[in-house]
Amino acid sequence: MSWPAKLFLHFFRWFCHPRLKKPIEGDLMELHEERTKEIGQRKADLIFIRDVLLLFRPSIIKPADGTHRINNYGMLKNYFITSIRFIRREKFFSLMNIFGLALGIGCALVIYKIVDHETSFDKHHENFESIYRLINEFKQAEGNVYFAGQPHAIAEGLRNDFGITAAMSYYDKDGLITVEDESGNQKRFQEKEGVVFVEPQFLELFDFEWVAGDASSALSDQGKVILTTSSVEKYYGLKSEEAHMAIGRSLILENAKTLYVSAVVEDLPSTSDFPFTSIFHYQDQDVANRYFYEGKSWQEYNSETNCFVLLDNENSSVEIESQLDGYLMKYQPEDMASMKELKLQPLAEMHSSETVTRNYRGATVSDNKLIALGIVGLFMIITACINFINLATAQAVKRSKEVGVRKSLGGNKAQLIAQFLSETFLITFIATIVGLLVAELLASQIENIFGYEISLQLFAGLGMLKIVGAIVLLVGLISGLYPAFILSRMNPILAVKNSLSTKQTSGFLSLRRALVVFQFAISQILIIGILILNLQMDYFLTKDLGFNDDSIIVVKLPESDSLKLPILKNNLLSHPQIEKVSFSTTGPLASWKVNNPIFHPSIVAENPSGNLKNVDEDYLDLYELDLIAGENYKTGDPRDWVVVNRKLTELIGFDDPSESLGERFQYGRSGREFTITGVVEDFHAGSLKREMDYVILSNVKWNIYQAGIKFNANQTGYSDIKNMLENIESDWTATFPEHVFDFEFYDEQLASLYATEQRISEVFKIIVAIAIIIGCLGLYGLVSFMSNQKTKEIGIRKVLGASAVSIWNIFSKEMVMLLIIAFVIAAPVSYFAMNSWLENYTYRIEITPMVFIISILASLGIALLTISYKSIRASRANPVLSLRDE
Amino acid sequence: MKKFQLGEFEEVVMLTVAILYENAYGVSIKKEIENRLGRNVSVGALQSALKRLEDKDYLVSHDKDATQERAGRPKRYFKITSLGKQAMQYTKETRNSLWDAIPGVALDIKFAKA
Repeated sequence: MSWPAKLFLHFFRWFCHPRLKKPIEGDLMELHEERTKEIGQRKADLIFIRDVLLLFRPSIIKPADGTHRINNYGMLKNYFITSIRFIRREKFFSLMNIFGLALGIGCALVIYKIVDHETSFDKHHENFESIYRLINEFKQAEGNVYFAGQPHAIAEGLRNDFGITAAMSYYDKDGLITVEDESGNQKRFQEKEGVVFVEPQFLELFDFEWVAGDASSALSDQGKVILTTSSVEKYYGLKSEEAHMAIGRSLILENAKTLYVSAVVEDLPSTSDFPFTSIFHYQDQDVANRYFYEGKSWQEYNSETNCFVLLDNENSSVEIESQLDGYLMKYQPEDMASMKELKLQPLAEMHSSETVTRNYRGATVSDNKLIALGIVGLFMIITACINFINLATAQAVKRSKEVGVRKSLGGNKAQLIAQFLSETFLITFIATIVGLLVAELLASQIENIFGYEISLQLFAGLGMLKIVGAIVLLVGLISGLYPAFILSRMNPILAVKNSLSTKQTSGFLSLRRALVVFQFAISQILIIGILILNLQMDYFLTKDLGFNDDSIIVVKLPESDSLKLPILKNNLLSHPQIEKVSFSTTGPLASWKVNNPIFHPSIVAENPSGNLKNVDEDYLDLYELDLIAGENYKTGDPRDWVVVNRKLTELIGFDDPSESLGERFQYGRSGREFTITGVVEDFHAGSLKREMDYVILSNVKWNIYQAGIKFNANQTGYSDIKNMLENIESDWTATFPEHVFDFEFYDEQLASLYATEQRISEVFKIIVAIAIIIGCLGLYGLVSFMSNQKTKEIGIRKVLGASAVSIWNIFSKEMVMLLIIAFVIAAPVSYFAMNSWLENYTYRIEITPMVFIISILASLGIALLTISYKSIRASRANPVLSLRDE
Repeated sequence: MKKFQLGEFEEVVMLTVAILYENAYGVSIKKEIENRLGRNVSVGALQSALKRLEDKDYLVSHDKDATQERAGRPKRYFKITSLGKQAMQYTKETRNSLWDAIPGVALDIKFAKA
C-alpha cells in the first residue's frame, strides 16, 4: 500500500464509528488485496481512496460527542429520567423545594445587583485611581470631623503654588433655565437637580462621552454650557441623533444670564456621583450663588463647593498631604486656618466614606452597610439551602426502596451520591431559572424604592452569568451533599424492607432540628430588626418636634429680599382658606442651614456653630414656637435684635432664660453682634439623627427663601385644597412672572429627611417576608418528615382513641420547643445589632420587651399555622392504611 | 398492519444477505450484488445501508474469525431477523398486490410505427 492510501486509511480510522471500524477496515483490506492482484497496486490504491471517501458519510462517521463513554451517558440519562419522574410524582414537594430555592436565589441575586451597583460608582473615569477630593479635617477631642466644602479660590491656589491639576465645582443642584423656541416663545424649567458650575480643568480630570464638542473647548470661556442628551431633548426637543444641532443654541440661567450650548455629552451613568444635566462655567455662578465673590474668596465655605485634584504617578497622596500641611495659613486668618488640615480623599471613597458623608449624589453608602446587606443575602441562600436539606431528607424514607434496589444491583455509594447530587442540580437549575424571574420582579419593586434601575442584564458580560453559575454550583453542593450522603448510606436490606423510618433515619433528625432552629433564628432576627426599624421610623415621623408642621404649605421665593413680598403676603391672606403667611430662610426644621460660630466671653473652648434663620413677625405664631421669655418681633425693631432658643442661653451661661434678655453675643468672624430680646423653647431645627442646634432667629429681610402658608385645617376636601393651591399659584405667578411655581406640604418635606431609613425599611419588609416564607416551607418539611416517621404511631394512637387535637399536640409541642430555642439565640443577637444601629441617632426609641414578645408570638403563630395543616392531615388519615403497610 | 420501511437498495441488500445465508459479510455481499445485478456498489453505500438496516432491527451482526488476508480484522457477518423477514415479506406483498392491480391492457403496449 502506498503512502497516500495509508494516509487515507488513517483518516478512515479517525472518522469511523468505533463499532464499525474493524469489520469495515477488514472489508477494505480484503478488497484492496484482491484488486492489487487483479489490476495492480496503483489502481487498487486509487479505488481504495475512493472507497474511503465514499465511506465518509453521516451514518459511518462517529458522533461528535464521542462514543467511548456511551454507557455513562446512558446512566446519566437514567438519572435524569428518574429525577424527572420523582419531580412529577412528588409535585407538591418539588414545587415547595423549587419555590423556596427560587425565592432565596432571587433575593440573593437582587442583593448582589444592589451591592454591585453601589460598588461600581465612578469607576468609569479613566483617572479613577488618581483623582482625589480635597477635604478638611477638624481635630476634635471626641474624634476627627471631616467636611468636603472648600473655598472658591483654593484650586487656583493649588495650581499656582504646587502646579497640581485641580478643579473646583459648585453643585447648585437647582436652577431656573429659560429657553426660546423658534417662534420666540419662552419656556421655563425649574430644575431641581443637575445644575453645576465647574472650572474648565474639571473636564481634564473626569471623563465624559462627547456627542458634540470636546473637552478642550467646551468650557474655554464664560457663557458656555455643556448639556446632556436628555436635557437637550428636554429644552430643544432634539433627539439624541440630532443632538449636535443644539450647539450654539442659547438658554437663560436664573433670568439673568444668556449662555450658549458649546457641547453635548451622553447622560451620565447611573453609577456616577456627579448627577449633572447641565454643566456651566465656574465663573457664571455669580447669578446663582450670592456668596461667590468672583471666586476669589478664601474664607467662604459651603458643602457643595468641592475641589478635586489629579495626582500624577510621581507624587503619592501622602506626600502631597504633607506639602499641604499649613498651606491655608498663607491665605486665611490664623485662628481659622489652624482649626483644620487639608486631606486628600480618594475618589473611590467618595461614595462609601463613613466620615465624609456627603457627595453630590447625596448620602454615601458605607462598605459596612453593603457587607450587612451581603450577609443578609447569604443568609437568604443559606436558609433556602437548609430548607432544601430538610425537605429532601424528609423524602428520604420514600426513596429508600429505590436506593435499596440500586444498591442490590451493584450501585456503589459514589454512584448513588452522584445520582442524588445530579438530581439536586437539576432542581437547583430549575429553581435558578425561576429565581431569575423572582429577581426580575423584586428588582422592579426595589427600583421603585431606590430610584435607580437594577437590570439583571444576564447576558451583558460574563459577570452575571458567572454569578448565576456559581449560585447553581454552590446551592447544588450545599443542599445536595447531605441528603445524598444520607440516602447513599442506607443499608440496602433494611431499605428494601422499608423498616428504615424508625431506625436508620432517626439519627439525622437532630441535625434537621438544628437547621430549623437556625432558620427560625434568622427569621426572628429579621422580624425583630424590622419591628425596631419601623418603630424608629414612627418615632421620627411622630415625635413632637417643638413646633407645628401641620396644614402648612411651603412655597419657594425666587427673589429673596424683594419689595414684592409684602404685596404677595397681603394677596395670599385675602383668601379665606389661608390663615397665616410667614417668609423666612427655612422652616424651623430644614435640611440645610446658615452656620457660623458663636462668640461670647463665657465660651472658652471651641466656638459652637449657631443656626441662623431670617424670619418675619409671623414666624413664631405660624409654626407655634413656644416663646418663654421676652417678646416677639415688631416692625421697626433694630436689626440686631434676635430671638434665640433656650439651649443658646444656657450656652452663654444663663440657667433662667429671662435673665439672658438684653445679653449680646458675636455671630460669625466678621464681628456682627446680636442682642437677645426673646427666647423660645428648644425645638428640632435639624434631623432627629443629630443633637439640637443653637438657633438664632433674626428679623432682617435677607436670605428669605420660602413662604410658609398655614391653611384652615377644616377644609379637607380635594376640591378645597385644589382651589386653594390654584389661588396660591395665581398670586405667586403674578408676583414672579418669570419663574416656575412649585409647592410642598411641610410635613411631607420633613418626612423626606428620613428617606434613607424609609428605603431600608421597605427593602427589609420584602426580605423579611421572603425569609418567613422560606422558613415556613422548611418547617413544613420538618413536620412532614415527622409525620412520615410517625405514620404508624399515629395510626396506633388513633385506633386507641386519640383525638385530632392530641395528635396535633405531638407535633406542636416539639415545634414550640424549637422555636423557643431559636428565640433564645435570636433575641440577644438582634438586640445588640439593633442597639448599635440605633446609636447612630441622637433621638431614638428604647428597645422594649414588647418587640420581642411580638416577634415570638408572630413566629409562633406562623409556625403553628404551618404545622396544623400537615398534622391535621396526618390525624385524619385512615389508621387502617398506615398500619397495613408492612 | 405494521408499516415497514424498506428502500430499493436496502431491499437488494436484504435479499442478498438472505441468499448468502451464513456467509454474508461486507465483501461477499458487495460481490454478490455486483455479480447478480451487474451494478457497482461502493463500500460506503453498502456499509451505511447495513448500519441503517441494523438500526431498524432488520439485521443482526456478529464478528467472527480474524484472518491473515484482512490484516487481522474480524469479518462482520449479517443475519436477517424475524422483523427483517416480515419487512421483506411485506415489501414483496405490497409489490405483488400492486402488480395484480394493473389491468392487463395497460402493459400491452403496442408502439405505433412512425
